[in-house]
Amino acid sequence: MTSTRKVFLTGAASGVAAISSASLWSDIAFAADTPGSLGAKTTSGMMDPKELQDAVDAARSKHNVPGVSAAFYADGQIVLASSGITNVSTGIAATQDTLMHIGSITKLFTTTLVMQLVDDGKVALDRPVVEFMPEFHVGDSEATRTITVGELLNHTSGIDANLLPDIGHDKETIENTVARMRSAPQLHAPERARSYCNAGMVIAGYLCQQLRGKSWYDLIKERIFAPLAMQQAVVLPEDAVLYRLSVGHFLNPATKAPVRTPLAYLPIGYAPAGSTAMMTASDLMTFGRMHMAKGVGPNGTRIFSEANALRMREPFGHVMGPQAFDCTIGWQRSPGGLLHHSGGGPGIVSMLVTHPASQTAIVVLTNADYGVSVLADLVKPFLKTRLGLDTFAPAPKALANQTIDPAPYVGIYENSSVVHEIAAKDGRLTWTAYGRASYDRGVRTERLPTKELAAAGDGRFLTSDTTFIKFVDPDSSGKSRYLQQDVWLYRRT
Amino acid sequence: MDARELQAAVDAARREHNVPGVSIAFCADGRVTLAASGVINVTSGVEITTDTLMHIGSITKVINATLLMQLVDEGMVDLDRPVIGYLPEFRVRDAGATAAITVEMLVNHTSGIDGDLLPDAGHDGETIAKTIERFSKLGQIHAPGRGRSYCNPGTVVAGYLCGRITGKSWYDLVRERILAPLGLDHATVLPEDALLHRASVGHFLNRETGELKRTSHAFLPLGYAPAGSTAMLSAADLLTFARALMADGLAPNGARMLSAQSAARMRRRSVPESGPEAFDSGLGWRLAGEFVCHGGGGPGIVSFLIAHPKSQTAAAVLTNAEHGFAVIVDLLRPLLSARLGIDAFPTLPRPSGENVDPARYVGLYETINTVHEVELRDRQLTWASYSTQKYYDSSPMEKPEPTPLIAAGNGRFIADSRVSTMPSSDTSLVTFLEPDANGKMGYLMESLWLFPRCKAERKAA
Repeated sequence: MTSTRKVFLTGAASGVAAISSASLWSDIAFAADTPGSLGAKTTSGMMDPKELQDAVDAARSKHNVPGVSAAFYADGQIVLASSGITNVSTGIAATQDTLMHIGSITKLFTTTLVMQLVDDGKVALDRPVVEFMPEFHVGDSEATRTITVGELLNHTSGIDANLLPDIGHDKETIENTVARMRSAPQLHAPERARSYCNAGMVIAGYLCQQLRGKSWYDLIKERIFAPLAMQQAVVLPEDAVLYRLSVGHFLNPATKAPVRTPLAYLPIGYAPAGSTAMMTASDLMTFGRMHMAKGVGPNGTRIFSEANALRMREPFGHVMGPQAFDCTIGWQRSPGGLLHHSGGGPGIVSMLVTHPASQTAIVVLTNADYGVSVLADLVKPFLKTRLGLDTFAPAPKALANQTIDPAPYVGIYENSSVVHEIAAKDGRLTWTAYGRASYDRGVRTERLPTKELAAAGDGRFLTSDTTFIKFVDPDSSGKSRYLQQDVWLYRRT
Repeated sequence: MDARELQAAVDAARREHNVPGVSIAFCADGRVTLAASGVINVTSGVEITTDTLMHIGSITKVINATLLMQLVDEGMVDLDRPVIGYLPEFRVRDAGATAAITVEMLVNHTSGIDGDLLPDAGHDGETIAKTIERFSKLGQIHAPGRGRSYCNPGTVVAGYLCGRITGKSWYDLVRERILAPLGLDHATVLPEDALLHRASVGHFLNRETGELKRTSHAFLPLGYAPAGSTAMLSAADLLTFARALMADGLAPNGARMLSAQSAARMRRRSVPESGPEAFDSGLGWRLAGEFVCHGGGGPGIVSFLIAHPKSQTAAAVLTNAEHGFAVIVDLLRPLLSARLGIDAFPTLPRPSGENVDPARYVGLYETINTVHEVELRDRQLTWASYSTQKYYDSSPMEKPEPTPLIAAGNGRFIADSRVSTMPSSDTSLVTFLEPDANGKMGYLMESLWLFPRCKAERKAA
């Protein structure tokens, strides 16, 4: 039903899952097609309202997710469906008007604000951030001098401040969060590798604030929501209360029942990376369509230039980084011309998938941290039937011969959020991971039980049937400098 | 009154006054009765329940004062000492006032700080600490301890002081020291926690069309949290809190929230003389005869908490409409009269029929955010008031049609057809105070506020 990795992230380091994650894309890829999969039944590719409603209802109940909202767009038509409830504690029904967390999909909004600055000639993607914001500062002085605006947006800045612990309502401001990054170390040198980077996106949001003289919140409202007439979209917790709202859920492993999250948001100061935005699937689709239409909203309003909308889609040169995580300026890319982003948070997963070539798009918002199975059930058959895309790489398989030399891998690998301890036992690798800090009032940081890993070749080791870690970048003695998991790099210490 | 009767009364009062949602919790003889009626939000149509969180607005001031008294109990604060003794960075514009304002003045509305509410500074600017910094520019309505005018800034300073002394945020203090020990599961002081629950928002009534409109702001400026911009509770949880105070600090679940001495001190008069009627102030509590009470307002909400310690009777009524006070009076007046034989809500005085000299009253009276114009029109004394800052959808920013003032003796005047922005039992009464040597009045009092006469002539709006 759900990958063991998700359970891990819930228990030990949900902050990591939290403002994620391209990982959802690979999770979808690896989610097995279950018997009676919806793809087989669909005739219209789910573009018939009843068919979509049935598919959403079925996926939701099959995976025991409290609430789902979806918007599908193809051939100039939009179809909406919602199912279930907003909150298991209140039992309030989820409707198409319900605002749900979009998590890291917010990064596309922040990126759009930066591209508006590029349009106005106020920043250039290939110029250093300090040129536009002299007070910009991270722990490493060379990185401070060289990190470019573009690197903030394509996860190559190397700033290691994935998600700092919550410091309380009055302190969790964007400004304070950026100030706390002044001492952040580098996970890698700028531009030399790719690891999912919330810090870069927060700094990008702050850059917009500084150059426009307005808060990131106001900029999103005034420069994106209002011109696109997105009336059921908010970036402030205090505005959310005005609407029918959904909150996150986790699965109680003992009872298999969804439990409401104790925490509605990740640290608020990470807002530009995706801790606060909530909207309806329909409004998020409006935003996705604007991007597909190269910067022009469905209402005809231009949000930013065609040139920069296209620029956002361009791949950049190959650098070291998780394979499942190919990104552009803001978007994540997959074969077949798919541009997408997913989002996580305390007990939520969400996804926006666009296919500009055919002007086709999907939004699925769920209020469970294990909602990835619902995404898979809805997204995969749609891409297959509508676009003929079945481009997901299969999960790696354990090698028949498990004899390996542990020496290149054994060690401790870490970033600001998570520590991985790799040891050898009886000729096999063992893996122990834990979160370095609690991101909220409810998340624990204790160690996970140590697991034995099965070798899958090419430096890959299976952590479950469908998930793996990979060791890369060997030094002269053959020892790996980095461990990759999901969309992150972890540096050997 | 049993649960069914209470439900019927709430349903009827809600419909009668066209209020979207009402929640009530009533306690007498140790028995609690709950009822709720209507919806939490006319746009979403979600039904209200007895565990729905609703804005309590300024009732938060009683929670805030309780927090302060806990620190008094622990010997961490002395009410008589100047605030700057605890908060060296505390500043108001007047240096003398900065030095003279005591901790007690912060919670009994006698500090005189004029800064009822400041404009919203945006999410990241609206912290309690930054709000305190903005107070350094505020003037005085009166010298510290020399008058009594409802004072939001004082309460905010008191809340900040609790945070500074304990090294914790005000939000954490309320949660750890009051909500958690009392077992209040349906209570929050943080907007980001509100969406974990069924939570109500405010509404405004278009009096011409009868149409109810959801507020466009869920909260007043967040930096005013200790004064009441963020707290949301179910009526049942608010009642539990009041019962703890009424029972000399001992909560229904047996937890001691406060010492008996401090609980008693909170409901004792803490101001020099009784002064303007209807606003006799304890610490946090307002005093009204044998009752202690507090009202709350916000963007499209009105709430009320009242307790009668002598009989251990208490009620909390929360409404999600700006015009909800009528529901509160309709429900509580008969309920409390039947039990206690006392009318909890004062009635307006009768016209005195006296001849007054208009010259003594005519003029402009104003504070940082409100102007009152008293004029002589066709030999009739009239009154008009409006806001100079916009907080609500309904903040009256333009001068309304003036209302005739009818003398009722002792400087009091009855004003017709007046809708106040804040809940109180005397919104239709305007009182003039403190005449100078020429007999000209120095202050206008409306509801709980004093408004000093404007010395320089001001261009009329």
